[in-house]
Amino acid sequence: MAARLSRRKIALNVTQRLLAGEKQTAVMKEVAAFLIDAGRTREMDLLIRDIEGELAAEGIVVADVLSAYPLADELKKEVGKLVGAKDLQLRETVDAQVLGGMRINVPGKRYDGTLRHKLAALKAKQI
Amino acid sequence: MSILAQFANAEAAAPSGDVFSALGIDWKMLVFQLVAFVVLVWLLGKFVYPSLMKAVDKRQADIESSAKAADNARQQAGKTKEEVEKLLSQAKRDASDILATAKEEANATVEAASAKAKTRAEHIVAEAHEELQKDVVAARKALHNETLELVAMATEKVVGKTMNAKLDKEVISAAVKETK
Repeated sequence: MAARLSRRKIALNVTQRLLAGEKQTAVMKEVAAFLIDAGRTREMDLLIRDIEGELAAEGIVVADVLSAYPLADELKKEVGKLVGAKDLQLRETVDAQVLGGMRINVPGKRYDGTLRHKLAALKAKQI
Repeated sequence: MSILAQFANAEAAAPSGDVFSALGIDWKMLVFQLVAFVVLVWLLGKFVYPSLMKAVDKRQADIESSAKAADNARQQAGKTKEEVEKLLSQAKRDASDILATAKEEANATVEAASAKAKTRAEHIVAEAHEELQKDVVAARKALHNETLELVAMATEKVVGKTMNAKLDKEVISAAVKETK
């Protein structure tokens, strides 16, 4: 029986293949098939997070951005500079409930500059 | 007839011619009377005087004893009076001491009660002050919290109505610069 592959090794392998120029869709299909075959589908989210972490270490950052209005291109560039990415890929979410500002989630870091968060921080100063 | 009468008659019948007769003194009668007197004295000294003197001595001793007893009683009465006076004096001193002591104790009790009441009053005042301070702090906290709540609510309302894409862009740019 083959030894169980760790999630980190899988993530590292996927990252290397993506960096080598393999097609992302093909690689991810292969990973999905592997996880289904190994009965480890519950690890899918964690694995994606690990892959994003490995890619971020190589300068390819996948960031989740939440804002009240869609981000302008110049703001996207600013975000790229902020997270130190050579190649930035954004997953944008627009939600008016945040009132204003934006929240950025990158592997291992989180910047929350939404007005909703600031108001919540203000309320949290209650004694 | 008695012997004395017979003797007298015999003497009267006999002649007389000596000195005693010349003086009218019958010496026989004189001797007889002397003897009778001596006998009388002897009888009195032998039987009457001793008992009489004994009774007198006894009476004198009784009187002296009574006088002595009276004197003793007087002296005793005097001593008793002195003792009574001494006891009265002592009793007065004791009463005075007791009164003074009672007065001192009463004063001490009053002072102690006063001090205790003062301490208690100070404690109550301190507690009230502390309670007041707590209330003030709690009120300040409540005011602070309510102010924060109101500010947050008002900001949310105002921002919700006034926010637009342009303003949001400015906010984000400012936040990015601040983060850098």
